[in-house]
Amino acid sequence: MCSRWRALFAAALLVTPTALRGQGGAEERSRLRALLARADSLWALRVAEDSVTARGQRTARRAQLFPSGDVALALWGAVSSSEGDSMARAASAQLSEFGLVPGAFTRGVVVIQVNAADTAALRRNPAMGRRQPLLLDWVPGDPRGVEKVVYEITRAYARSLDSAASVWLPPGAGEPWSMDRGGERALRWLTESQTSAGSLCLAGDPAGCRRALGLEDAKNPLAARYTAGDIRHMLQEQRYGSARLQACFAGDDGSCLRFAEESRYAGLSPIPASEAVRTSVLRYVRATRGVDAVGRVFAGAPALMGARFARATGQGLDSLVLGWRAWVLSRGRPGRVRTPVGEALAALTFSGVLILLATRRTRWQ
Amino acid sequence: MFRQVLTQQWVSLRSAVLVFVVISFAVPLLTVVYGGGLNAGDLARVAQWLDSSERIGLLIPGIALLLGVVFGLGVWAPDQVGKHVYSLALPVPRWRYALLRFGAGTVLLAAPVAALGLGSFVAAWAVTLPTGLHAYPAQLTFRFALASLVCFAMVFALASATKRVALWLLGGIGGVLLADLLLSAFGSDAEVTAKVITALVTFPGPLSILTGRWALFDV
Repeated sequence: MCSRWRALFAAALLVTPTALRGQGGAEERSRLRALLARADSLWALRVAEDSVTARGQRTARRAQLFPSGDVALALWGAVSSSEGDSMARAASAQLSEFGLVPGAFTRGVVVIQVNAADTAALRRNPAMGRRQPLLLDWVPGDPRGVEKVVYEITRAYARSLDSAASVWLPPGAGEPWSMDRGGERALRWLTESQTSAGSLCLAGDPAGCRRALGLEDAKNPLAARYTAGDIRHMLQEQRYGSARLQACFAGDDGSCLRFAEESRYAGLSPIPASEAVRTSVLRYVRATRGVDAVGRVFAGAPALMGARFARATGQGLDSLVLGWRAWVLSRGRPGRVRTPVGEALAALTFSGVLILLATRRTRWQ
Repeated sequence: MFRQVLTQQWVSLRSAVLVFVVISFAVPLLTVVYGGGLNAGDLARVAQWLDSSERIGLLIPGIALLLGVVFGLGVWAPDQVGKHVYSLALPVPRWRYALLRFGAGTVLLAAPVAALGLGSFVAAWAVTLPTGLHAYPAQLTFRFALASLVCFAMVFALASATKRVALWLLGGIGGVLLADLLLSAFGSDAEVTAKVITALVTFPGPLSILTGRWALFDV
Protein backbone atom coordinates (compact mmCIF):
# COMPACT_ATOMS: atom_id res chain seq x y z
CA MET A 1 0.00 0.00 0.00
CA CYS A 2 2.73 2.32 1.01
CA SER A 3 4.69 1.76 -2.20
CA ARG A 4 1.57 2.48 -4.26
CA TRP A 5 1.20 5.89 -2.57
CA ARG A 6 4.90 6.60 -3.19
CA ALA A 7 4.50 5.78 -6.88
CA LEU A 8 1.44 8.03 -7.18
CA PHE A 9 3.29 10.89 -5.47
CA ALA A 10 6.29 10.56 -7.79
CA ALA A 11 4.00 10.50 -10.83
CA ALA A 12 2.25 13.67 -9.67
CA LEU A 13 5.60 15.44 -9.32
CA LEU A 14 6.61 14.47 -12.82
CA VAL A 15 3.30 15.51 -14.37
CA THR A 16 3.26 18.92 -12.59
CA PRO A 17 6.91 20.11 -12.31
CA THR A 18 5.98 23.19 -10.32
CA ALA A 19 8.25 24.61 -7.65
CA LEU A 20 7.52 23.26 -4.23
CA ARG A 21 6.70 25.60 -1.43
CA GLY A 22 9.85 26.81 0.35
CA GLN A 23 11.99 26.72 -2.76
CA GLY A 24 13.18 29.95 -4.22
CA GLY A 25 13.67 30.85 -7.83
CA ALA A 26 16.22 29.62 -10.37
CA GLU A 27 19.03 31.64 -8.76
CA GLU A 28 18.37 30.14 -5.39
CA ARG A 29 18.36 26.61 -6.87
CA SER A 30 21.63 27.28 -8.62
CA ARG A 31 23.24 28.49 -5.36
CA LEU A 32 22.02 25.42 -3.55
CA ARG A 33 23.33 23.14 -6.29
CA ALA A 34 26.76 24.81 -6.08
CA LEU A 35 26.71 24.43 -2.32
CA LEU A 36 25.81 20.77 -2.60
CA ALA A 37 28.53 20.21 -5.21
CA ARG A 38 31.07 21.85 -2.90
CA ALA A 39 29.93 19.70 0.02
CA ASP A 40 30.17 16.58 -2.15
CA SER A 41 33.63 17.54 -3.26
CA LEU A 42 34.81 18.19 0.31
CA TRP A 43 33.32 14.90 1.46
CA ALA A 44 35.04 12.98 -1.33
CA LEU A 45 38.33 14.65 -0.41
CA ARG A 46 37.85 13.79 3.25
CA VAL A 47 37.02 10.18 2.43
CA ALA A 48 40.12 9.95 0.22
CA GLU A 49 42.30 11.42 2.96
CA ASP A 50 40.86 9.28 5.72
CA SER A 51 40.95 5.98 3.92
CA VAL A 52 43.11 3.73 1.85
CA THR A 53 42.03 1.29 -0.83
CA ALA A 54 43.43 -2.17 -0.53
CA ARG A 55 42.24 -5.13 -2.59
CA GLY A 56 39.30 -3.13 -3.82
CA GLN A 57 38.14 -2.24 -0.32
CA ARG A 58 38.24 1.22 1.16
CA THR A 59 39.51 1.26 4.74
CA ALA A 60 39.05 4.17 7.10
CA ARG A 61 42.33 5.25 8.61
CA ARG A 62 41.49 8.32 10.69
CA ALA A 63 43.43 7.77 13.89
CA GLN A 64 41.53 6.79 16.98
CA LEU A 65 43.09 6.42 20.38
CA PHE A 66 43.21 3.23 22.46
CA PRO A 67 44.78 3.82 25.85
CA SER A 68 45.15 0.91 28.27
CA GLY A 69 47.44 0.75 31.26
CA ASP A 70 50.66 2.49 30.31
CA VAL A 71 50.21 1.85 26.60
CA ALA A 72 48.52 4.25 24.18
CA LEU A 73 47.82 3.19 20.60
CA ALA A 74 46.57 5.37 17.76
CA LEU A 75 45.07 2.99 15.20
CA TRP A 76 43.05 3.42 12.03
CA GLY A 77 39.35 3.99 12.28
CA ALA A 78 38.84 0.66 10.53
CA VAL A 79 40.11 -1.12 13.65
CA SER A 80 37.18 -2.06 15.82
CA SER A 81 37.17 -0.67 19.31
CA SER A 82 37.25 -4.15 20.81
CA GLU A 83 40.30 -5.11 18.75
CA GLY A 84 42.10 -1.87 19.55
CA ASP A 85 41.32 -2.12 23.25
CA SER A 86 42.40 -5.73 23.39
CA MET A 87 45.68 -4.93 21.57
CA ALA A 88 46.52 -2.12 23.95
CA ARG A 89 45.56 -4.21 26.98
CA ALA A 90 47.60 -7.23 25.83
CA ALA A 91 50.64 -5.10 25.02
CA SER A 92 50.44 -3.39 28.39
CA ALA A 93 50.14 -6.77 30.17
CA GLN A 94 53.04 -8.20 28.20
CA LEU A 95 55.30 -5.29 29.04
CA SER A 96 54.39 -5.44 32.74
CA GLU A 97 54.84 -9.21 32.84
CA PHE A 98 58.44 -8.96 31.71
CA GLY A 99 59.28 -5.72 33.50
CA LEU A 100 62.00 -4.67 31.07
CA VAL A 101 60.53 -1.35 29.93
CA PRO A 102 59.65 0.95 32.84
CA GLY A 103 56.04 2.08 33.00
CA ALA A 104 57.22 5.71 33.03
CA PHE A 105 58.85 5.22 29.64
CA THR A 106 55.78 3.52 28.16
CA ARG A 107 53.62 6.36 29.43
CA GLY A 108 55.83 8.74 27.49
CA VAL A 109 55.17 7.23 24.06
CA VAL A 110 52.18 6.77 21.78
CA VAL A 111 52.32 4.06 19.15
CA ILE A 112 50.75 5.34 15.92
CA GLN A 113 49.75 3.00 13.15
CA VAL A 114 51.60 3.82 9.94
CA ASN A 115 49.52 5.93 7.48
CA ALA A 116 47.04 6.84 10.18
CA ALA A 117 45.28 10.06 9.13
CA ASP A 118 44.60 13.20 11.11
CA THR A 119 47.14 12.49 13.82
CA ALA A 120 47.39 16.26 14.32
CA ALA A 121 44.05 16.15 16.12
CA LEU A 122 45.47 13.41 18.29
CA ARG A 123 48.51 15.51 19.08
CA ARG A 124 46.24 18.33 20.21
CA ASN A 125 44.98 16.02 22.94
CA PRO A 126 46.76 17.38 26.05
CA ALA A 127 47.39 13.87 27.40
CA MET A 128 48.84 12.59 24.14
CA GLY A 129 50.60 15.70 22.88
CA ARG A 130 53.55 15.24 25.20
CA ARG A 131 54.09 11.61 24.24
CA GLN A 132 56.81 10.63 21.81
CA PRO A 133 55.23 9.12 18.67
CA LEU A 134 56.38 5.67 17.52
CA LEU A 135 55.34 4.22 14.18
CA LEU A 136 53.62 0.85 14.10
CA ASP A 137 53.90 -1.05 10.81
CA TRP A 138 50.78 -3.13 11.15
CA VAL A 139 47.55 -3.62 9.20
CA PRO A 140 44.27 -4.88 10.63
CA GLY A 141 44.09 -8.64 10.43
CA ASP A 142 47.79 -9.21 11.10
CA PRO A 143 47.86 -11.44 14.22
CA ARG A 144 51.26 -10.09 15.33
CA GLY A 145 49.85 -6.70 16.33
CA VAL A 146 50.64 -7.01 20.03
CA GLU A 147 54.13 -8.34 19.35
CA LYS A 148 54.81 -5.41 17.05
CA VAL A 149 53.59 -2.87 19.59
CA VAL A 150 55.83 -4.40 22.28
CA TYR A 151 58.72 -4.53 19.81
CA GLU A 152 58.40 -0.85 18.91
CA ILE A 153 58.22 0.24 22.53
CA THR A 154 61.19 -1.95 23.51
CA ARG A 155 63.19 -0.69 20.57
CA ALA A 156 62.46 2.92 21.49
CA TYR A 157 63.46 2.13 25.07
CA ALA A 158 66.73 0.55 23.89
CA ARG A 159 67.49 3.68 21.84
CA SER A 160 66.92 5.86 24.87
CA LEU A 161 69.66 4.06 26.83
CA ASP A 162 73.39 4.70 26.83
CA SER A 163 75.34 3.26 23.90
CA ALA A 164 76.53 0.05 25.62
CA ALA A 165 73.04 -0.86 26.81
CA SER A 166 71.47 0.29 23.56
CA VAL A 167 73.66 -2.05 21.51
CA TRP A 168 73.23 -4.93 23.91
CA LEU A 169 69.45 -4.86 24.45
CA PRO A 170 67.63 -6.82 21.70
CA PRO A 171 64.50 -4.98 20.53
CA GLY A 172 62.64 -8.28 20.43
CA ALA A 173 63.42 -9.00 24.08
CA GLY A 174 59.94 -8.05 25.25
CA GLU A 175 58.11 -10.43 22.94
CA PRO A 176 56.46 -13.56 24.39
CA TRP A 177 59.14 -16.07 25.30
CA SER A 178 59.08 -19.73 26.19
CA MET A 179 61.79 -22.18 27.07
CA ASP A 180 60.62 -24.40 24.23
CA ARG A 181 61.27 -21.74 21.60
CA GLY A 182 63.51 -19.01 22.94
CA GLY A 183 65.36 -21.31 25.32
CA GLU A 184 65.93 -23.85 22.60
CA ARG A 185 67.46 -21.21 20.34
CA ALA A 186 69.78 -20.14 23.13
CA LEU A 187 70.70 -23.76 23.77
CA ARG A 188 71.46 -24.31 20.10
CA TRP A 189 73.65 -21.23 20.00
CA LEU A 190 75.49 -22.26 23.15
CA THR A 191 76.13 -25.79 22.00
CA GLU A 192 76.84 -25.01 18.37
CA SER A 193 78.67 -21.74 18.82
CA GLN A 194 81.06 -20.77 16.04
CA THR A 195 83.15 -18.57 18.32
CA SER A 196 85.84 -19.66 20.70
CA ALA A 197 84.23 -17.59 23.46
CA GLY A 198 80.99 -19.53 23.00
CA SER A 199 82.83 -22.86 23.11
CA LEU A 200 84.66 -21.82 26.27
CA CYS A 201 81.34 -20.82 27.79
CA LEU A 202 79.87 -24.22 26.97
CA ALA A 203 82.90 -25.81 28.59
CA GLY A 204 82.10 -23.94 31.79
CA ASP A 205 84.58 -21.05 31.60
CA PRO A 206 82.89 -17.91 33.00
CA ALA A 207 85.31 -15.62 31.17
CA GLY A 208 84.22 -17.23 27.91
CA CYS A 209 80.58 -16.65 28.80
CA ARG A 210 81.25 -13.01 29.67
CA ARG A 211 83.00 -12.46 26.34
CA ALA A 212 80.40 -14.34 24.32
CA LEU A 213 77.56 -12.43 25.95
CA GLY A 214 79.26 -9.08 25.48
CA LEU A 215 79.28 -8.25 29.16
CA GLU A 216 82.84 -6.98 29.32
CA ASP A 217 84.56 -3.80 28.24
CA ALA A 218 83.47 -2.94 24.72
CA LYS A 219 86.11 -0.43 23.60
CA ASN A 220 87.31 -2.82 20.92
CA PRO A 221 84.60 -5.46 20.71
CA LEU A 222 86.07 -7.46 17.85
CA ALA A 223 89.51 -7.86 19.36
CA ALA A 224 88.05 -8.55 22.78
CA ARG A 225 85.39 -11.03 21.76
CA TYR A 226 86.62 -12.76 18.63
CA THR A 227 89.85 -14.52 17.82
CA ALA A 228 91.41 -14.40 14.37
CA GLY A 229 90.38 -18.05 14.04
CA ASP A 230 86.76 -17.10 14.74
CA ILE A 231 86.90 -14.40 12.07
CA ARG A 232 88.42 -16.79 9.52
CA HIS A 233 85.77 -19.36 10.33
CA MET A 234 82.93 -16.87 10.02
CA LEU A 235 84.19 -15.12 6.89
CA GLN A 236 85.02 -18.25 4.95
CA GLU A 237 82.65 -17.34 2.15
CA GLN A 238 84.43 -14.01 1.59
CA ARG A 239 87.94 -15.46 1.63
CA TYR A 240 88.76 -14.37 -1.92
CA GLY A 241 87.70 -10.75 -1.31
CA SER A 242 90.17 -8.02 -0.49
CA ALA A 243 93.93 -8.40 -0.20
CA ARG A 244 93.72 -7.93 3.55
CA LEU A 245 91.23 -10.76 3.83
CA GLN A 246 93.46 -12.98 1.74
CA ALA A 247 96.31 -12.11 4.11
CA CYS A 248 94.02 -13.06 6.96
CA PHE A 249 93.38 -16.46 5.44
CA ALA A 250 97.08 -16.79 4.73
CA GLY A 251 97.61 -16.77 8.48
CA ASP A 252 98.07 -13.11 9.44
CA ASP A 253 95.90 -12.71 12.54
CA GLY A 254 96.25 -8.93 12.60
CA SER A 255 94.83 -8.68 9.08
CA CYS A 256 91.75 -10.56 10.15
CA LEU A 257 90.95 -8.09 12.90
CA ARG A 258 91.81 -5.08 10.76
CA PHE A 259 89.63 -6.35 7.92
CA ALA A 260 86.70 -6.84 10.24
CA GLU A 261 87.13 -3.39 11.78
CA GLU A 262 87.63 -1.60 8.47
CA SER A 263 84.66 -3.24 6.81
CA ARG A 264 82.36 -2.34 9.68
CA TYR A 265 82.60 -5.73 11.29
CA ALA A 266 82.15 -7.50 7.94
CA GLY A 267 78.83 -8.85 9.03
CA LEU A 268 80.10 -9.86 12.45
CA SER A 269 78.03 -8.69 15.36
CA PRO A 270 79.96 -6.71 17.98
CA ILE A 271 78.42 -9.13 20.46
CA PRO A 272 78.94 -12.81 19.57
CA ALA A 273 75.78 -13.95 21.36
CA SER A 274 72.69 -13.70 19.19
CA GLU A 275 69.64 -11.67 20.18
CA ALA A 276 67.89 -14.85 21.30
CA VAL A 277 70.77 -15.64 23.63
CA ARG A 278 70.84 -12.16 25.14
CA THR A 279 67.09 -12.34 25.61
CA SER A 280 67.57 -15.64 27.44
CA VAL A 281 69.93 -13.89 29.87
CA LEU A 282 67.18 -11.41 30.69
CA ARG A 283 64.67 -14.23 31.00
CA TYR A 284 67.04 -16.02 33.35
CA VAL A 285 67.26 -12.90 35.52
CA ARG A 286 63.48 -12.72 35.53
CA ALA A 287 63.10 -16.42 36.43
CA THR A 288 65.61 -16.31 39.26
CA ARG A 289 65.45 -12.73 40.56
CA GLY A 290 62.00 -11.54 39.60
CA VAL A 291 60.48 -8.88 37.39
CA ASP A 292 61.97 -5.97 39.31
CA ALA A 293 65.51 -7.23 38.71
CA VAL A 294 64.96 -7.11 34.93
CA GLY A 295 63.91 -3.47 35.21
CA ARG A 296 66.91 -2.69 37.42
CA VAL A 297 69.36 -3.96 34.78
CA PHE A 298 68.73 -0.96 32.55
CA ALA A 299 67.78 1.55 35.22
CA GLY A 300 70.35 3.72 36.90
CA ALA A 301 73.61 5.24 35.80
CA PRO A 302 75.25 4.12 32.55
CA ALA A 303 77.66 1.24 33.02
CA LEU A 304 79.06 -1.76 31.22
CA MET A 305 76.51 -4.51 30.78
CA GLY A 306 78.32 -6.82 33.18
CA ALA A 307 78.25 -4.19 35.90
CA ARG A 308 74.59 -3.52 35.18
CA PHE A 309 73.69 -7.19 35.63
CA ALA A 310 75.78 -7.53 38.79
CA ARG A 311 74.15 -4.42 40.23
CA ALA A 312 70.62 -5.53 39.34
CA THR A 313 70.90 -9.10 40.59
CA GLY A 314 73.22 -8.52 43.55
CA GLN A 315 75.40 -11.45 42.59
CA GLY A 316 78.83 -11.81 41.05
CA LEU A 317 79.00 -11.77 37.29
CA ASP A 318 80.74 -15.16 37.09
CA SER A 319 78.09 -16.75 39.25
CA LEU A 320 75.39 -15.12 37.12
CA VAL A 321 76.77 -16.31 33.78
CA LEU A 322 77.38 -19.83 35.06
CA GLY A 323 73.88 -19.91 36.48
CA TRP A 324 72.50 -18.76 33.14
CA ARG A 325 74.56 -21.42 31.33
CA ALA A 326 73.24 -24.18 33.57
CA TRP A 327 69.70 -22.83 33.18
CA VAL A 328 69.93 -22.87 29.39
CA LEU A 329 71.53 -26.30 29.27
CA SER A 330 68.87 -27.72 31.57
CA ARG A 331 66.17 -25.86 29.61
CA GLY A 332 65.07 -24.10 32.77
CA ARG A 333 64.12 -27.28 34.55
CA PRO A 334 64.45 -27.18 38.28
CA GLY A 335 67.22 -29.73 38.50
CA ARG A 336 68.86 -32.98 37.62
CA VAL A 337 67.62 -36.47 38.45
CA ARG A 338 67.44 -36.86 42.21
CA THR A 339 65.15 -38.29 44.81
CA PRO A 340 64.55 -36.01 47.77
CA VAL A 341 64.08 -37.68 51.16
CA GLY A 342 60.43 -36.60 51.25
CA GLU A 343 59.69 -38.22 47.92
CA ALA A 344 61.45 -41.43 48.90
CA LEU A 345 59.57 -41.51 52.21
CA ALA A 346 56.25 -40.92 50.42
CA ALA A 347 56.99 -43.81 48.06
CA LEU A 348 58.04 -46.15 50.87
CA THR A 349 55.06 -45.20 53.05
CA PHE A 350 52.67 -45.76 50.19
CA SER A 351 54.24 -49.14 49.47
CA GLY A 352 54.03 -50.06 53.18
CA VAL A 353 50.33 -49.18 53.33
CA LEU A 354 49.66 -51.26 50.23
CA ILE A 355 51.51 -54.25 51.67
CA LEU A 356 49.55 -53.88 54.90
CA LEU A 357 46.33 -53.89 52.91
CA ALA A 358 47.52 -56.91 50.95
CA THR A 359 48.11 -58.85 54.17
CA ARG A 360 44.67 -57.98 55.52
CA ARG A 361 42.31 -58.30 52.59
CA THR A 362 42.20 -61.69 51.04
CA ARG A 363 40.27 -64.03 48.89
CA TRP A 364 40.44 -66.52 51.72
CA GLN A 365 38.24 -64.47 54.03
CA MET B 1 60.21 -71.28 53.61
CA PHE B 2 61.25 -68.03 51.96
CA ARG B 3 63.58 -69.98 49.68
CA GLN B 4 60.75 -72.25 48.52
CA VAL B 5 58.49 -69.29 47.74
CA LEU B 6 61.36 -67.54 45.97
CA THR B 7 62.14 -70.66 43.92
CA GLN B 8 58.51 -71.02 42.95
CA GLN B 9 58.30 -67.37 41.87
CA TRP B 10 61.55 -67.60 39.97
CA VAL B 11 60.21 -70.58 38.05
CA SER B 12 57.02 -68.75 37.12
CA LEU B 13 58.66 -65.37 36.43
CA ARG B 14 62.10 -66.19 35.10
CA SER B 15 61.29 -65.30 31.48
CA ALA B 16 59.93 -61.94 32.56
CA VAL B 17 62.92 -61.35 34.83
CA LEU B 18 65.36 -62.07 32.01
CA VAL B 19 63.51 -59.85 29.55
CA PHE B 20 63.44 -56.97 32.03
CA VAL B 21 67.10 -57.46 32.90
CA VAL B 22 68.02 -57.09 29.24
CA ILE B 23 65.76 -54.07 28.72
CA SER B 24 66.92 -52.34 31.89
CA PHE B 25 70.56 -52.86 30.98
CA ALA B 26 70.06 -51.66 27.42
CA VAL B 27 68.08 -48.47 28.02
CA PRO B 28 70.89 -46.39 29.62
CA LEU B 29 73.28 -47.60 26.94
CA LEU B 30 70.77 -46.50 24.34
CA THR B 31 71.42 -42.92 25.46
CA VAL B 32 75.02 -43.28 24.37
CA VAL B 33 74.16 -44.95 21.08
CA TYR B 34 71.32 -42.58 20.25
CA GLY B 35 73.16 -39.50 21.42
CA GLY B 36 76.26 -40.34 19.44
CA GLY B 37 79.83 -40.07 20.59
CA LEU B 38 80.79 -37.11 22.69
CA ASN B 39 84.22 -35.98 23.63
CA ALA B 40 86.12 -32.78 24.25
CA GLY B 41 86.37 -32.01 20.54
CA ASP B 42 82.74 -32.61 19.79
CA LEU B 43 81.00 -30.05 21.93
CA ALA B 44 78.57 -29.13 19.18
CA ARG B 45 76.67 -32.30 19.95
CA VAL B 46 75.88 -31.45 23.55
CA ALA B 47 72.35 -30.32 22.72
CA GLN B 48 71.67 -33.55 20.84
CA TRP B 49 73.18 -35.45 23.72
CA LEU B 50 70.99 -33.79 26.33
CA ASP B 51 67.96 -34.26 24.10
CA SER B 52 68.52 -37.98 23.72
CA SER B 53 69.24 -38.39 27.40
CA GLU B 54 65.98 -36.71 28.27
CA ARG B 55 63.92 -38.61 25.71
CA ILE B 56 65.31 -41.97 26.70
CA GLY B 57 64.94 -41.04 30.34
CA LEU B 58 61.20 -40.86 29.77
CA LEU B 59 61.21 -44.59 29.06
CA ILE B 60 62.57 -45.49 32.48
CA PRO B 61 59.47 -44.76 34.61
CA GLY B 62 57.49 -46.62 31.95
CA ILE B 63 59.71 -49.65 32.46
CA ALA B 64 59.26 -49.33 36.23
CA LEU B 65 55.49 -49.32 35.78
CA LEU B 66 55.56 -52.30 33.45
CA LEU B 67 57.87 -54.13 35.81
CA GLY B 68 55.47 -53.52 38.70
CA VAL B 69 52.49 -54.75 36.71
CA VAL B 70 54.17 -57.92 35.44
CA PHE B 71 55.77 -58.83 38.75
CA GLY B 72 52.76 -57.80 40.85
CA LEU B 73 50.47 -60.06 38.85
CA GLY B 74 53.10 -62.75 38.40
CA VAL B 75 53.81 -63.39 42.08
CA TRP B 76 50.16 -64.32 42.70
CA ALA B 77 49.80 -66.30 39.49
CA PRO B 78 50.71 -69.74 40.95
CA ASP B 79 48.07 -69.28 43.69
CA GLN B 80 45.42 -68.30 41.20
CA VAL B 81 46.24 -71.25 38.97
CA GLY B 82 46.09 -73.64 41.91
CA LYS B 83 42.93 -72.02 43.33
CA HIS B 84 44.88 -71.18 46.52
CA VAL B 85 44.90 -74.83 47.61
CA TYR B 86 48.66 -74.90 48.11
CA SER B 87 48.75 -71.70 50.10
CA LEU B 88 45.80 -72.75 52.27
CA ALA B 89 47.57 -75.99 53.02
CA LEU B 90 50.62 -74.18 54.37
CA PRO B 91 50.94 -73.87 58.15
CA VAL B 92 51.46 -70.09 58.07
CA PRO B 93 49.09 -67.23 58.70
CA ARG B 94 47.82 -65.23 55.77
CA TRP B 95 49.80 -62.08 56.56
CA ARG B 96 53.07 -63.99 56.73
CA TYR B 97 52.39 -65.73 53.46
CA ALA B 98 51.66 -62.41 51.75
CA LEU B 99 54.87 -60.95 53.14
CA LEU B 100 56.82 -63.95 51.87
CA ARG B 101 55.34 -63.46 48.42
CA PHE B 102 56.12 -59.76 48.50
CA GLY B 103 59.66 -60.35 49.77
CA ALA B 104 60.35 -62.92 47.07
CA GLY B 105 58.94 -60.57 44.43
CA THR B 106 61.16 -57.76 45.72
CA VAL B 107 64.23 -59.99 45.45
CA LEU B 108 63.37 -60.77 41.85
CA LEU B 109 62.73 -57.08 41.25
CA ALA B 110 66.29 -56.36 42.35
CA ALA B 111 67.66 -58.05 39.23
CA PRO B 112 66.31 -55.50 36.67
CA VAL B 113 67.19 -52.67 39.06
CA ALA B 114 70.76 -53.93 39.29
CA ALA B 115 70.85 -54.32 35.50
CA LEU B 116 69.76 -50.70 35.05
CA GLY B 117 72.41 -49.59 37.52
CA LEU B 118 75.07 -51.57 35.67
CA GLY B 119 73.94 -50.23 32.29
CA SER B 120 73.97 -46.67 33.65
CA PHE B 121 77.48 -46.97 35.04
CA VAL B 122 78.76 -48.53 31.82
CA ALA B 123 77.14 -45.72 29.79
CA ALA B 124 78.64 -43.12 32.10
CA TRP B 125 82.10 -44.64 31.81
CA ALA B 126 81.83 -44.88 28.04
CA VAL B 127 81.67 -41.13 27.45
CA THR B 128 83.72 -38.04 28.15
CA LEU B 129 81.47 -35.21 29.17
CA PRO B 130 82.36 -31.53 28.89
CA THR B 131 82.73 -29.47 32.04
CA GLY B 132 79.41 -28.78 33.62
CA LEU B 133 77.67 -31.89 32.34
CA HIS B 134 77.43 -34.90 34.62
CA ALA B 135 76.21 -38.47 34.64
CA TYR B 136 73.90 -39.54 37.43
CA PRO B 137 73.90 -43.37 37.37
CA ALA B 138 73.49 -43.88 41.13
CA GLN B 139 70.63 -41.40 41.47
CA LEU B 140 68.89 -42.86 38.45
CA THR B 141 69.18 -46.41 39.80
CA PHE B 142 67.89 -45.41 43.22
CA ARG B 143 64.92 -43.62 41.70
CA PHE B 144 64.20 -46.57 39.44
CA ALA B 145 64.32 -48.94 42.43
CA LEU B 146 61.81 -46.87 44.37
CA ALA B 147 59.51 -46.40 41.38
CA SER B 148 59.55 -50.15 40.64
CA LEU B 149 58.83 -50.93 44.29
CA VAL B 150 55.85 -48.56 44.39
CA CYS B 151 54.39 -49.98 41.17
CA PHE B 152 55.00 -53.53 42.33
CA ALA B 153 53.36 -52.87 45.71
CA MET B 154 50.37 -51.28 44.01
CA VAL B 155 49.70 -54.15 41.65
CA PHE B 156 50.60 -56.71 44.31
CA ALA B 157 47.94 -55.28 46.64
CA LEU B 158 45.39 -55.10 43.84
CA ALA B 159 46.07 -58.66 42.72
CA SER B 160 45.66 -59.93 46.26
CA ALA B 161 42.43 -58.05 46.81
CA THR B 162 38.92 -59.47 46.73
CA LYS B 163 36.55 -58.90 43.84
CA ARG B 164 34.68 -56.43 46.01
CA VAL B 165 37.76 -54.26 46.43
CA ALA B 166 38.46 -54.43 42.71
CA LEU B 167 34.88 -53.35 42.06
CA TRP B 168 35.19 -50.48 44.56
CA LEU B 169 38.36 -49.35 42.83
CA LEU B 170 36.91 -49.55 39.36
CA GLY B 171 33.79 -47.82 40.63
CA GLY B 172 35.94 -45.04 42.06
CA ILE B 173 37.76 -44.51 38.78
CA GLY B 174 34.47 -44.62 36.87
CA GLY B 175 32.95 -42.15 39.34
CA VAL B 176 35.73 -39.66 38.81
CA LEU B 177 35.38 -39.94 35.03
CA LEU B 178 31.59 -39.60 35.29
CA ALA B 179 31.93 -36.54 37.49
CA ASP B 180 34.21 -35.02 34.89
CA LEU B 181 31.70 -35.72 32.11
CA LEU B 182 28.79 -34.29 34.09
CA LEU B 183 30.71 -31.19 35.08
CA SER B 184 31.77 -30.52 31.51
CA ALA B 185 28.20 -31.14 30.31
CA PHE B 186 27.03 -28.40 32.68
CA GLY B 187 29.71 -26.06 31.39
CA SER B 188 31.95 -26.26 34.44
CA ASP B 189 35.70 -25.85 34.00
CA ALA B 190 36.49 -28.16 36.92
CA GLU B 191 38.60 -31.07 35.72
CA VAL B 192 38.27 -33.74 38.37
CA THR B 193 40.33 -36.41 36.59
CA ALA B 194 43.17 -34.01 35.87
CA LYS B 195 43.16 -32.81 39.47
CA VAL B 196 43.18 -36.34 40.85
CA ILE B 197 46.03 -37.36 38.56
CA THR B 198 47.96 -34.20 39.41
CA ALA B 199 47.51 -34.87 43.12
CA LEU B 200 48.77 -38.43 42.68
CA VAL B 201 51.85 -37.57 40.65
CA THR B 202 52.85 -34.37 42.42
CA PHE B 203 54.71 -34.47 45.72
CA PRO B 204 53.56 -35.54 48.32
CA GLY B 205 51.41 -37.72 46.05
CA PRO B 206 52.34 -41.41 46.24
CA LEU B 207 53.20 -41.60 42.53
CA SER B 208 55.40 -38.50 42.43
CA ILE B 209 58.36 -40.85 42.22
CA LEU B 210 57.32 -41.70 38.67
CA THR B 211 57.50 -38.10 37.48
CA GLY B 212 60.36 -35.61 37.63
CA ARG B 213 63.76 -35.86 35.99
CA TRP B 214 65.03 -39.20 34.70
CA ALA B 215 67.92 -38.16 32.47
CA LEU B 216 71.16 -40.07 32.93
CA PHE B 217 73.20 -37.13 31.65
CA ASP B 218 72.34 -33.66 32.79
CA VAL B 219 73.76 -30.34 33.81
